Amino acid sequence: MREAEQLIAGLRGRDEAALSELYDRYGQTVYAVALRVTGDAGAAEEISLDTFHQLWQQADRYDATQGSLLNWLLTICRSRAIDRMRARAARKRTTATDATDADHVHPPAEDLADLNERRQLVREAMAALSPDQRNAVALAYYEGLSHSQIADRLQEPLGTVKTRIRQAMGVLRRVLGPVLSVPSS
Amino acid sequence: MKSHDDIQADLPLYALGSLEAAERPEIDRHLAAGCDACSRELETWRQVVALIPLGAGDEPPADLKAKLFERVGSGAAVASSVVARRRIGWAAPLALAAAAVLALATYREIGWRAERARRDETTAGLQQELANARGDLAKVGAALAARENDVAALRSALANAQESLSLLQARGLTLVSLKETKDAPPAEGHILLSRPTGRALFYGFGLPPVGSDKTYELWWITEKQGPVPAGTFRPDEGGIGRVDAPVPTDAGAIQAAAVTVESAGGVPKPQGPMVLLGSTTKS
Repeated sequence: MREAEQLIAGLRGRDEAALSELYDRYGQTVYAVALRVTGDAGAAEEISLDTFHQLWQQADRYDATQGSLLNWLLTICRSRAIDRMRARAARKRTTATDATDADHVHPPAEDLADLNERRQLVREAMAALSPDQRNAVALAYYEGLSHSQIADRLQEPLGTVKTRIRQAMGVLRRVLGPVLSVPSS
Repeated sequence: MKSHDDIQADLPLYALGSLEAAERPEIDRHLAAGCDACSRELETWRQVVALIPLGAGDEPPADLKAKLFERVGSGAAVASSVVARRRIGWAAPLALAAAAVLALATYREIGWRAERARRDETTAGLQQELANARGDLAKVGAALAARENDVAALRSALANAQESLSLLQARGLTLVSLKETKDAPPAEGHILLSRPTGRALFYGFGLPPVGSDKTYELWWITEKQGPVPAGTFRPDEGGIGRVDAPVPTDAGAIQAAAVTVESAGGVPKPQGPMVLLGSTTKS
């Protein structure tokens, strides 16, 4: 099992085994995010292929100091997926921002064991949310909707939506606490 | 203008990207002004948001990786051949060889994927068979245990029957009948007694069950020692009790036999109520 930096070096050296290992590590998450955004298995497949193909072609552009490799992949994936959804819904003239503020964050280490452990913890955290909270977070994260757009979509008051998302984020932070690193002051 | 607390309350929404575009600049300005507390708080919220996609559990189609390598393999091969032609025209065979190697790698990748899918399927099938076999084994084990219990019970019954039969064939056999005493519940018993061989078998009938702290005890009433303990018993569900009773050899003539209710474990001399009594001289 190679470290992320070694795998990136492998990609730069056109090592397909490195791409294979990266796909094994992150392919499921990339596909799942694309599917959540588009709700279309065919589109999710294409977006996943595009994302990994871009990784293969532009590995030189990845800068480890700007964030984790997984976040870089997910930024590409979400941007492509949200763009596709916007193109599909062009008549609605959506104006939401295209990415969360988290795309530049440094998450904790990314070895495979940690990744699987964090996947499990995140699923537990999501399960701790009420269905309404989960839905609101998903609309914000996966569809890139703003509060007012979510309120429109759900036909609920804006204040209710904001409160619900704040509460949901509080629950997620509490459950995910064990894998969050404490920011240095 | 928002207060520090208002801004801090908006940070999770800012990190999630759900704030309205018009609301973001004020927070940007607050952060740019150097609020360390908010910067640290925002970094934590960003970590939370960065983890959200790990919760999406959908699995990609099994052939997606093979498709990726189809795309990557052909793209890489084309790029290699173009570069080779530009640089050194005589190296075209090398480009072809590179393409061939990449094609082979792709082919191997696809083959590996298919092989893994086949293996996964086989493994799942074998695991199911193993689970079924374990279930069958557990059932067979339970049936076997039940049979073993039956066999043990039959052996015990057979041993009792053989003992009774051998006693019936013993020399000098006498039958001692026992009847319920006054005020005792209706019951009866008899003893097959063979004085020459020193063996005896008691059977009691219609005896009510006794509590777990009590037991029935059989006595020989002898000429020299009075009552001599001959064994304790608890009747079965049908009210039948059985005692394989040794006959005392140094207590003189046996005059009678009796059954009393005593403390569990039995006592050396009768203390409890007598429920059956029979004289040997009547037999």
